[in-house]
Amino acid sequence: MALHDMTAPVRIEEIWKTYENTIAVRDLTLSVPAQSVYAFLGPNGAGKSTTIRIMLGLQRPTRGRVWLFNRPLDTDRVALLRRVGSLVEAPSVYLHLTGRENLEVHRRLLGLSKPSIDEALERVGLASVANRLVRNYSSGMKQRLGLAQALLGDPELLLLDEPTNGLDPAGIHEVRSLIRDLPKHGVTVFLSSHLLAEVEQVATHLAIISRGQLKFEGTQEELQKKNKPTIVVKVDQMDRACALLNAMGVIATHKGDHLMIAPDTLYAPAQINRILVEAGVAVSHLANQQMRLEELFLELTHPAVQEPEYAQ
Amino acid sequence: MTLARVLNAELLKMKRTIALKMVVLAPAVVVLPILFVGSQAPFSTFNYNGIANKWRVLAILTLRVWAILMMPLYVTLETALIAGLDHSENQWKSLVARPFPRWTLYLAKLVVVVGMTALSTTVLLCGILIDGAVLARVQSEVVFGSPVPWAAILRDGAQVMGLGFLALTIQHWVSLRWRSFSVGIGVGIVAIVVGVFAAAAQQQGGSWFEYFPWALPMLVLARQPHNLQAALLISSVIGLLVAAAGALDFCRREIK
Repeated sequence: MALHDMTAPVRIEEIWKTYENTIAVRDLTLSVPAQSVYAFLGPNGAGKSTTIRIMLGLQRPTRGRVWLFNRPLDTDRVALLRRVGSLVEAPSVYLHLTGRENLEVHRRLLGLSKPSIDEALERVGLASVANRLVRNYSSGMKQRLGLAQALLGDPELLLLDEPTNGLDPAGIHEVRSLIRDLPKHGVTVFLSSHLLAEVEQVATHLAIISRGQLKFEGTQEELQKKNKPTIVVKVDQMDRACALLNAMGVIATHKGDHLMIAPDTLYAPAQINRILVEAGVAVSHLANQQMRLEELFLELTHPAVQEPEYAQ
Repeated sequence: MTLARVLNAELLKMKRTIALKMVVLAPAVVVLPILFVGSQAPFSTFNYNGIANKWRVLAILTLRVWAILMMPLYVTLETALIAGLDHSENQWKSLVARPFPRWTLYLAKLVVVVGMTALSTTVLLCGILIDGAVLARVQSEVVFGSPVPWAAILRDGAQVMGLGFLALTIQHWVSLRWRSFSVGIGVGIVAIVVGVFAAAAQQQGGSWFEYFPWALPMLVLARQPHNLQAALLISSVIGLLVAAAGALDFCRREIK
């Protein structure tokens, strides 16, 4: 994605966010295409919520700049936030008010007409319990109310931080359908999650962040292309085969009773086989092995601690 | 226009809250005991500084308790409760992400606290009239025959409120600045205790201590004559500066 794509509703340019002893976000650059469902993925503590807070002006970046609708957020915050709806982490709701009154607070803040409340309640399926006090809502209902708040005023950009938290499977399905439909109405959705499986059905674009750094940005197809197969070899003389391949510049490592040969090697599987056999190493198994998308995500986000698992 | 919208939203948040009930409860806690004491020991209660008009004495007694104890307590509680509405569930992340300048939120909340304090003071003044009317019926030894000094009662009530503005703005800042309910309450309680000693210093006169923010409302009712206009100016000007500093701090604060 081009850094200076002027049509992108969100452009984040080289932002850093540091706290006293921690770097929460490190040189992050993103570009969110218009009318996309852009999934922002990373494990807990990767910097997703901090990034969303910076995008909403709740926190200031230590360095770098956020552009929304091609205007800088730091100088045009109020005008830009008119076009943005958000749900950051747990929904912010007043427990002593009813669902309808909670939306009324936000309606007054936005200066919208009264019918907008009913529309938002209908969209999230809370119309029948709108007059019940929120303290009697389940966590799933509160999450829906948070979504209704975000949808008030028909925003052009929706920033959702873990929007399916606390929802039952039926609720998750409904929220996914809602998110999938939004781009058809001209809305761009920026969606954070720590689970790829949670978003891969709805996301048109992905960004993967780990320890504050961007690891990948692109479409699911582009991520799949990154997923080059590893060659898995089973031999009778493991150490000798490993030393032989390493001496030829091939990165080969032990994993159980297999030898794993990293992608991007200069040699095709057949060449590897010939080299080993000619050196007197018996090869009993040789195959290309491709990671599932979830495994690739784990490898990108936990390279040091999480070894990808391969199907035997 | 934006401030009106934010204020409108703030008013809705007050629905079903203890903060709203306090508007009536706080003055009742002053008015009812005075009614009880006045009906039990009328002579000692209403023999004050040689003032003949018993309505005036009743007003001074009631406003003294209000100014030194109940109004500071009420302001401490109200500011903490109102800020607590948005500290709980971390409402700030959804409020501050809305399209209005942050200072309007700070100011709207301040207006709500000032408005509720004014409302409470009005309820208190009504309570004085009710106390007098009831005492006139049940206690024939104290004569409430003279006309009600409306102007003096209203003036004293307004001045007590005006002089309480500085302490109110400090409490408002503290309550919004710190998420913990106990910080706001703690600061308020300590300040009220110090204020009681400062009010004692007012009786002596001539000490800077008498201008301690939480003791300023007592100047209205001090036996020594004081320059009330200067005190009102101090309270309102420094109060506005504190409000501006608090709003600036609120605008700069990061929402986590």
